[in-house]
Amino acid sequence: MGKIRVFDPTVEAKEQPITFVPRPKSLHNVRIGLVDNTKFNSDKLLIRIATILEQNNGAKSHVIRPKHSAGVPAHQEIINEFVFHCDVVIAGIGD
Amino acid sequence: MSPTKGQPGHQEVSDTAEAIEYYYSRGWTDGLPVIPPTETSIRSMLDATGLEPHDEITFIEHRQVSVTAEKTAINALMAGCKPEYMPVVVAALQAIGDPRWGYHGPATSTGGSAVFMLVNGPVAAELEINHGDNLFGPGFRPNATIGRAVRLVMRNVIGTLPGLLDRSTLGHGGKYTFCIAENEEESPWPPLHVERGFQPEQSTVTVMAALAPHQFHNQLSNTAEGILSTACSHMRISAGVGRQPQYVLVIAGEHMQVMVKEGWSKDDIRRFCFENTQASHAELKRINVIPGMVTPEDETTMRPLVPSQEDFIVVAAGSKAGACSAYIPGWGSKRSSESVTMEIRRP
Repeated sequence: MGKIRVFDPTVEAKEQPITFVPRPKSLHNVRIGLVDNTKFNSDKLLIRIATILEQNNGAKSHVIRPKHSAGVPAHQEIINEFVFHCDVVIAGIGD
Repeated sequence: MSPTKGQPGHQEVSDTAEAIEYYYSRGWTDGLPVIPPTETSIRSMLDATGLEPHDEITFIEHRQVSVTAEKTAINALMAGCKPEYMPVVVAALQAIGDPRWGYHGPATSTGGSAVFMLVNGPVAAELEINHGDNLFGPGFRPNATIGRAVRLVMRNVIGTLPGLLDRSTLGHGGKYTFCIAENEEESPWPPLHVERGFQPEQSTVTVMAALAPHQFHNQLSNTAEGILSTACSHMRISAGVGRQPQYVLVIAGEHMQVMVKEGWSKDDIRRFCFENTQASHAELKRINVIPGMVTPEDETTMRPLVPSQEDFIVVAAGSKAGACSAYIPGWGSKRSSESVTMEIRRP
């Protein structure tokens, strides 16, 4: 009896090398970029976090910018602004 | 060109039953058994679209995954598709790869959406895609397998696996398949693809990230306004409230006849539904679907269910018998994901 070949329905995702900048040794005097994913209250939570980091850890300032929607990456204008005007970025926020 | 041969580690089994179990063992199914593809059947699927194995159907940016014709053919065969269904599957995949659909959000979200697919144009009748009895239920091969094929590609090619990159809290049955046609033969209204600028003789598939369909019954009224007042009361505080997604409104036979008799157009339906599904900010705050304290102005500030009246997608479909129709809330917001209509191209 002949053999039946199995056809693999899957693929491997392309590898994406990601380069991370070195983590700052301290938050003293850093400028914080906040990526608002636009879900309800995400802006309030992020600003509260930034305020705590400024009050307790010596961070210098913060700026918050909204994404176009929660389901897409931050758009280029946000990235460009944060590259030039921020030292650290807070981007992760869920429901 | 033949389908890819000699892939590293390719497996052979003794018989079909063993093949089915092997596909299960690798996590390649949606929980139901699949049809094992063969080299010949894969070739037939490719020929039905005029595509070669490595042709790219769509590229999913967030996953960095290229969906090729060969992998689509394999998954569509596993789902039970005939070769003539393949162009519909291809167009649907192109549609969910469109940035307007925004794959990452609806595929990954806890909100648990499925890919609702509406087929319009001559291909729907040619393939006998059901638009009538038991519209969202089982029993119709193209409806069952075209939607299933798209889901299998999402799972096997794009990696949308439950608990990993599909974080649906609940999901729903439409994630197995959610494919219907519009009843263009009996509908007095322009079909959706014509409303969206295609010619009647073109065939299209429209995809929308969608929650489960909800039926509403109205066996008492013989006016369009009476029927739609029931629809609006069901929709006004429903799954999409506060977020402003698009909604599909499926008008079935008896309700359609009432509306036809009164001369209501799809625009009339949209206008009525847009006006009668709005809720005050105060109510939406009290039921905790938008944040904040209720202010005096909130009592008179109204929020529409959908961004504009055009975001009610009106479709004629469903059985001739029965005084019920349905609405389908979209996932998330239209800003995050909107319905996309793609032409079905056949060689």
